[in-house]
Amino acid sequence: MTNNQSPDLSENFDDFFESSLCGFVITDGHGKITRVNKCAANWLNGIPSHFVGKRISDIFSVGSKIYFETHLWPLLRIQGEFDEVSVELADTGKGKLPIYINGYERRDENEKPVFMRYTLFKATDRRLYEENLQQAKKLAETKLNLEQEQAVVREQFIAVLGHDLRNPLGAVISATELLKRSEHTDRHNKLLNIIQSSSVRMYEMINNIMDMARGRLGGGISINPVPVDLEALLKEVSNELKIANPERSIQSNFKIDNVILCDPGRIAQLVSNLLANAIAHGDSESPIVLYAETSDQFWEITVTNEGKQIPDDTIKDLFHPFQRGGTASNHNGLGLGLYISSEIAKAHQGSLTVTSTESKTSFMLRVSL
Amino acid sequence: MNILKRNNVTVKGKGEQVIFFAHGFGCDQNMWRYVVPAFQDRYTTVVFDHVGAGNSDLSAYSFSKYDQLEGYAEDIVEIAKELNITNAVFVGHSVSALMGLIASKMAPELFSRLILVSPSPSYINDEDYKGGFSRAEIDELLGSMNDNHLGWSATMAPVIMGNPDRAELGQELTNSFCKTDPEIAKHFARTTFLSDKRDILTDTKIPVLILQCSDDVIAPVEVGQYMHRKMNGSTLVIMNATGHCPNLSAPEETISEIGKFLNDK
Repeated sequence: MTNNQSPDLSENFDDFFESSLCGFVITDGHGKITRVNKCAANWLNGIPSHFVGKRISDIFSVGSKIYFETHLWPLLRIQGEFDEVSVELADTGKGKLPIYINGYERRDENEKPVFMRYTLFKATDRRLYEENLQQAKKLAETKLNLEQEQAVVREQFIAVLGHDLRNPLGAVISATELLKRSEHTDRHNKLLNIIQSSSVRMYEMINNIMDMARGRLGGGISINPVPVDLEALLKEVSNELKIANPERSIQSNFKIDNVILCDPGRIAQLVSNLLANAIAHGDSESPIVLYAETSDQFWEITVTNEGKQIPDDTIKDLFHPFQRGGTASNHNGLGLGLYISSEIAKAHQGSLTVTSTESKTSFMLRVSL
Repeated sequence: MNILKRNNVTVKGKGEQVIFFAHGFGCDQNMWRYVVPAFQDRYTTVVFDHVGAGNSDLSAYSFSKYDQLEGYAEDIVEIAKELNITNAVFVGHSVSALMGLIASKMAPELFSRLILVSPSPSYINDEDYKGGFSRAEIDELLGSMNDNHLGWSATMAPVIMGNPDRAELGQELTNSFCKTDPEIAKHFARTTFLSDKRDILTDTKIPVLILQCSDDVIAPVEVGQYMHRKMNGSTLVIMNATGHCPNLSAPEETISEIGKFLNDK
């Protein structure tokens, strides 16, 4: 306050109009300004009497002026009011002030406009807030795009790395193979066996990583389906695992009447993954059941083991990459087996599903024809 | 496609002679609500919404077709042909006045008289021509619309949330008239305010009435005078009405001027 007059302490409507924190503008029925309060005049860098006689749209910036004449004036004349419209006041030396405006038209008994009242609310902070929200949204979108691009690059890198690692590792495996043919001390044989089994495991892990990268890069796992004798294929896989785990029993139960179309290498990989999982996680005293059935409508392969139930919160992520079935201290793979198996199922237009009860867990590959 | 549905065409009144009323940028056929009933006892009246406005079929909106006024003019021709109209009177407000000139050039048999209400062939000043705005000012309008600085705050919600399909975020319950899709409104503004049709004014050979408001920031008096000079045999009336929409702010004066012209010509 620059004057020294003591403030008027009585409540009256003139004071309410003038000292309000929102702007008030009143026009005649044609849109000519008859009264402006101090607040609105102040926003427009003037005093109230400067604006009397001007057209209402003159107080707006040029864009808002056009908008007012083409949208808001018609609206006022058609429906008698409008509210919460975002416009800008003309720049009169203080910049264009963003405001929200409400309008009201008073009509006489013949529906002719007598006067119009406008209430103006400062919207600088709100505009800022809206702009910040929009910017934050744009920023988040840009970041997301960038991260998605980087993820693709990372996975391409993994695929290339895996491919290049396989060659020297293949050489290590072959050299070990050749070395084992000569006579060695027991200690050396033991060490050679460790080198061999470790490098084979490493080779498998690299294959899995490459499969995963391929799956994630959008293309999915590609398959090459040929007519396959499923029974022979399953027996072969099951025998391999029996040799590696002589202490475990794998029972087969096949109802196979038809030759099926599938990628034999990939289906062997899938079944081998499921059997290895059953051996690692199942009850070591109970047999694992490998069941397969073919018909004219579908073919399916199920691996069932007895043992503890898989908890619900593990089940939901079971087919995602890098899952290890809870603690799984006895298993030191990368947790890609089930992810790749489910990708193989998808590539065959089939599905890999799991059911786990208190006593049994089954994984079923089912392909409808 | 059903043309009458596409443009939400309403035909009323009685009489051999047909009057076509076209709304301009910013609203819909409601612009004519105080004027049209005055003619329905002796004329057949046709009102409609441009595609993108009012209750037109928004799915018919094409950003390439409506990038120039000719796209809208084609629609006017189609509506008139669909209704088997010839020798009608065309009344166009604001930018629709120019659409009428274009339509009448495309299909001369449709209209025998043109009434141009607050028309402007070009809004941007150009050397001696005073359109009312500088290019920078029109850019400011289009920029403000692009940044969503104009209009209902409710339209901001879907812009920020990115949920234009969730109607409850963008509902305009209290401002139900003149509702527009923000993207279409932006595009219509661009098509309207960047158009320059000064070169076609001399092509019109039928009687023309220009209704010019006093104190119209969008189409100043000089623009009305310019059009009158360019269009041989046109009649220019400077109305007492102020603003850009005499059809809403001064319906009696508008009705009376249209009536006089129709009786004379």
